[in-house]
Amino acid sequence: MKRFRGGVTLSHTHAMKEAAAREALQHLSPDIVYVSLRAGGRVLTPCVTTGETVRVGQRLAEDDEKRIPPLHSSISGTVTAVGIFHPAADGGEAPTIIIQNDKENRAGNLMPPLTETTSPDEIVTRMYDAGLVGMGGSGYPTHRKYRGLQAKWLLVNACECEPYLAADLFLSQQNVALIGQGSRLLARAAGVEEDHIRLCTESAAAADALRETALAVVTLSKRYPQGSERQLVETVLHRRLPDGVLPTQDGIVVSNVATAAAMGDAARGLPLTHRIFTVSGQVERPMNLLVPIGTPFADAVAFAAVTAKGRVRYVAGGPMTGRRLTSLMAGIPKTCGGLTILASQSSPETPCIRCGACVRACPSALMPFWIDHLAQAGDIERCTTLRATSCLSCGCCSYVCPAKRQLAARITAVKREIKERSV
Amino acid sequence: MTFPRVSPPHIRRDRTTSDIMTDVCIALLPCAVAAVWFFGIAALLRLAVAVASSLAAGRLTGRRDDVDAAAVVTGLIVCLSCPAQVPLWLLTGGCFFAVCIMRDGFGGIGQNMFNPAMAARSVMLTVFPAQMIGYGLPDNVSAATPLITGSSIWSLLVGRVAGSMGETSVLMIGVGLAWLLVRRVVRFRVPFLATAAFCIVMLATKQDVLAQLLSGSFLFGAVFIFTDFTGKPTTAVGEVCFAVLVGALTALLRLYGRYPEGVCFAVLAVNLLTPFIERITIPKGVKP
Repeated sequence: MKRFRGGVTLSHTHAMKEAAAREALQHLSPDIVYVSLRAGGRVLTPCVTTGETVRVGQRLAEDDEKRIPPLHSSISGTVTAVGIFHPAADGGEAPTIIIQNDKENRAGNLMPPLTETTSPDEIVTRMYDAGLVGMGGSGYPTHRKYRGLQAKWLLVNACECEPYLAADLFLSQQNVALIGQGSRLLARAAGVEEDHIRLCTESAAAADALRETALAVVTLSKRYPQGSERQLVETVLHRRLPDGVLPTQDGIVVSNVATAAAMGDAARGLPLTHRIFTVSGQVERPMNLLVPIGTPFADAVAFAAVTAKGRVRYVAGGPMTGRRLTSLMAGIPKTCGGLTILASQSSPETPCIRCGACVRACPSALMPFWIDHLAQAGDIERCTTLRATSCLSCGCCSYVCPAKRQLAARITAVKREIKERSV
Repeated sequence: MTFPRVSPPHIRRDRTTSDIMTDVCIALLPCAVAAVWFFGIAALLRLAVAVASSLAAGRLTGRRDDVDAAAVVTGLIVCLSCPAQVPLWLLTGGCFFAVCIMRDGFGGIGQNMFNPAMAARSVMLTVFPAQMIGYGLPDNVSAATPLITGSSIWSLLVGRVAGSMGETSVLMIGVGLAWLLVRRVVRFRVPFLATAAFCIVMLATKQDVLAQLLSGSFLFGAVFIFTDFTGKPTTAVGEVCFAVLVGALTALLRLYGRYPEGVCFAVLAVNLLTPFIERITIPKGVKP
């Protein structure tokens, strides 16, 4: 098994992941859902009004420029507010649509199912209509990734990038038929031949299950960040992508397994309204939930018996890249694979001792301690020379740092700064 | 440029700077025990004085959050690389010089250009050669260092030879190395490559390689001094360059230098090159 450069082993979290994947799926039915209109740096335009009755799958909002796919109602009920500012998972507050659940689950009109002869263009249109975005966390609109794409390889990513989270692991053991169908459609949209599809997982059990799709399955290491797309390409196709080159520019398209499954649903006419969501971290029983999009995080917390002592930190996503939630009333977005509950601990930064652990851990072969040093001195120019823009923000450097420096956070800030200056 | 006070990753590896420094102290213990075993109460007294004065020095000039163990490491290395009859005033002065001037004067932990202990040792050696060179034998009979006298392999391994207090027992240095490797404080690369370079130079100059390797302070240096984080490059290729240079230079200085041992001068010289080596060995990434 080929290993990617750098990374860290997080073996103490593997057991939690497997425990969560073993638990039966709990179906959540929230009283109220909060659908944030902010996505991908844009604000969508609502197409429902206050007091309107909506059904499952009904379109709630869409982007005037069609850059971001529309949002759909995940429940049936009554719209109680449109565009009101409410806490969002990606920080701060955002205009939100609030829907009161009538718990009747009345389905709206389905889109016509796709057939064997559907053209790539029609599949891409369906991606947009079904509201598909990269569900591994990037949230990149799927229709924009696949539009006009002519690729050689399709990697379906079932390697959960984050420790603790087990949503992809669960999905790959349960919804195999859907994944198979979705993957084939993605391949067709990207012009990829069927024997150039690779289903990638880090779990032997999931690999066994995925073989039922009759597609090629690759079992990879449990090392973090195996689920990062560049590392996936490095290990599966033995190719290290040059800095700044996206996989799609090199004839490789990587999609998350949950996106593939959502594609399968979309082919049957169902828009993206639900997702599998892990509640884990310092909890008694980690588990997976099936949540309607927009369910407040608080409803998921209710399923967890928190074992963390003292003050608790709620993280949207996994512990390595997830964002601390400032409010549990934020709705769960399409891109969020779980909630990690941890004891709130802060370790003060101490001086770097040049041990080189960050340099060894960096999957992008950067010099994190050096960029950190230059960033503090405000020398953005030299940070650019040190390839700060190639940082994945995977957090490996901060994780290993014995001086507890906020390397990843500072390099991420530098990256943002460089981007802003170049505009 | 700002970022949220609470930023990912939200989990961190347990190990801290203090843990690493404590591990180095533990790794130095076998050598300290050997020093006391062979040189008796004199060595014990000097170890105590060195630890106390480096701790005091660290408190005097260090930052408030500096770990004490870091100063102790410096003090222990200064002490163990001195002969057993080193005057207490000189040892105390050496420890203060190492911590206050060579470490904190250069910006504190992680910022110092030179290995503080080796800088202190070289100053002590050049300014007070009479006090630093008269090596004592375990039975307190003054004699020349084994580099000059020659000893049997077995006594070199055990350490029953004249020399600096902590550097004589190869077995105890080996125990220290094993601890550092097991605790992953030190990687195999630097000590191994430095030793290889040293042996190659000795072979090329037709010396008795084994005797050269086991005597003097080379192995102590390879395990505890060449591996010092601050003085060596952090890149993989840089580490290789550093190790080869310092190993070869130690051998050359021992053979052709004015002093019987070359470790401290070789380390200081290669410390000077470290920023340069690091800069030219930065990974370039994959070019399109």
